[in-house]
Amino acid sequence: MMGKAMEKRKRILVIDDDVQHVDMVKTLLESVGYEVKFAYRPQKGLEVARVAPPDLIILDVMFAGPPGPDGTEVARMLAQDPDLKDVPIIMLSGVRKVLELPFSLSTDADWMPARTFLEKPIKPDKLLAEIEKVLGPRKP
Amino acid sequence: MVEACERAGGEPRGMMTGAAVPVSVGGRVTGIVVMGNLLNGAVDKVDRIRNSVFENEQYQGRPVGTATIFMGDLRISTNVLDARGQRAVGTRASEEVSARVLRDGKSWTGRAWVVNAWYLSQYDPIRDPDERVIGMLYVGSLEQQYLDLRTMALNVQLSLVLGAMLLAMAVLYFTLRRTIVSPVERLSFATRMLAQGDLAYRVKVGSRDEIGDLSASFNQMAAQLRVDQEEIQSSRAELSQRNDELAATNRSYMEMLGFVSHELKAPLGAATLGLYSVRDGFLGSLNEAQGKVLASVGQNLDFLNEMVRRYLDLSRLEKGEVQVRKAWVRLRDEVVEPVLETLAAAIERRGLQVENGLAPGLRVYADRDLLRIVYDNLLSNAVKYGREDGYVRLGAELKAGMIELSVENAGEGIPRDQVGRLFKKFSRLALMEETGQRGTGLGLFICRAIVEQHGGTIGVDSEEGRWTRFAFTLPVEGSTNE
Repeated sequence: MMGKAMEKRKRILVIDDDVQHVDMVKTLLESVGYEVKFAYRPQKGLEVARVAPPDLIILDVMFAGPPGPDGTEVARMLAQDPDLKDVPIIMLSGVRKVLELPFSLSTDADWMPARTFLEKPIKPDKLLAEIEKVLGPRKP
Repeated sequence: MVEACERAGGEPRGMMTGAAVPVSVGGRVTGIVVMGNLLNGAVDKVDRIRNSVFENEQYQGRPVGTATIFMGDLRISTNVLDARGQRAVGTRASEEVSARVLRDGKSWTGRAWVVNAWYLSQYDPIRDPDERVIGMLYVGSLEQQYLDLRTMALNVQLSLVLGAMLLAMAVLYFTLRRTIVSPVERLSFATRMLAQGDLAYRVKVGSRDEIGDLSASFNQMAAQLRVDQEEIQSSRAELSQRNDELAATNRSYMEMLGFVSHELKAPLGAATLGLYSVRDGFLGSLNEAQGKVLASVGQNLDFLNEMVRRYLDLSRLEKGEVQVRKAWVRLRDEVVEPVLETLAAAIERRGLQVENGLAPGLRVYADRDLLRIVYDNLLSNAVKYGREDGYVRLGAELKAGMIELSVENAGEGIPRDQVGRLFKKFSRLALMEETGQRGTGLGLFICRAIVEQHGGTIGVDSEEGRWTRFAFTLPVEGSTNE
């Protein structure tokens, strides 16, 4: 019975370089019944996703450290991957959208890296509500 | 003889010079020989008189001198010519002359109109042996030549006077020029030089009079101006340098603020998510005391988050990093509703009634995200400082080519004396302290910066104890209210 419940759990991949934040998200999401994988680097996140495609990816935008693809580029790579192109993405970032992002997020842009954009700091009820909008209601 | 008389004046009588000589024969007078010389028409006589006086001189085709013998007032012999050039025999003397000479027996001297010209004339009575006046002898000299002579003399005199006057004026002019005009001109020139910024220019102090004093004063003034100017320039340079230093300080301060805020942001974000996960019971139920403490910590985290957000906005605005990217924005759907959503919990907690008077189709040409920051600030304030269970009213109105957007709330209002510093950086109102609400002192400053970057203005209106209304304008640029 336990095993069956485990099977039904939705799997969420968190790609974010903020270790503490990842920790908090993981703790919250697991406490309400999601299975959480995580990666601190975009490249690592892509590898994890390819090994086992998740039901949802929560993706940061800006990554500190050595140069590499940022969140929007990761989203583009995901969209071009035949196994991953249908995985929904929630972008969750400390970046204040247009104030800092190098591209326009207006609704009429040609290409959208994600349907949902969330800003840090985020409160648990808001985050869970947005996840449910994408994955459907949680099992009680 | 009568015929001769009639020819010379149409008068039958005659006037004669004559002599009577007794003829005696043997001592006894036997007769008288009378001899006479008729004067009527005797032109040779008048011509002789004229020639002896004037030597037949001519002036401009006329004889200068004229002579006439009058019988009574009748010209009987004359060389005065009439208009046709004929001797004017048969014409009469003027009444004035006749009266004086013929009646009073006196000579008449003066200017007389003789037939057709003015003559300087003398009329003398001609008497018979009984001393009765029977005629006149006239001698005249053409006035014109004297007049012309006089005119010439006058002209000569006038020229002399004029010349003297000119000379005097010239002397006066050059004297004045040297003593007054030149110094004044030099002063005037110096004033222009001064006005054009040549503070080193000086006038020569030539004389020890008022002009000299004026010049000296001028030089003194110019010297003082130069000193002042140098002081001003050095103060200005100092100020400019100070300004640059301040700007640099401000820039590095803003950079530091931005950096610190950015660094604070991530841990605060993680802390917020973690704390609220606990407080809201996602990680297990809490007892009342725990919930109370965590609620308070949560409020502090909210405030710190807001602070960090405002500081980041400020540092970006001050560093000029923020670009206004204008596009058509549906004000209600894209700006106001998302902001209201983030404030929904606070609005409900304070029992506020939101009256959104914005038409759903209202579009403005603005930067959507910057506009969100403006509404975030204004609505946050309205929710924070508004009267509990009061209203928050949103409005839009076209005013003089601009669209005015307003956020009004019921509340204590803002005292007049505090309105001035409301939009300044780090301003705090006494009111905020009273209500126990913490503010960053940056929100309205940021609003003003954003609104001004859009080409608008922001202001506040308030009635103490009743309401506060913030309003800002945006250029219409074809904004529509479909």
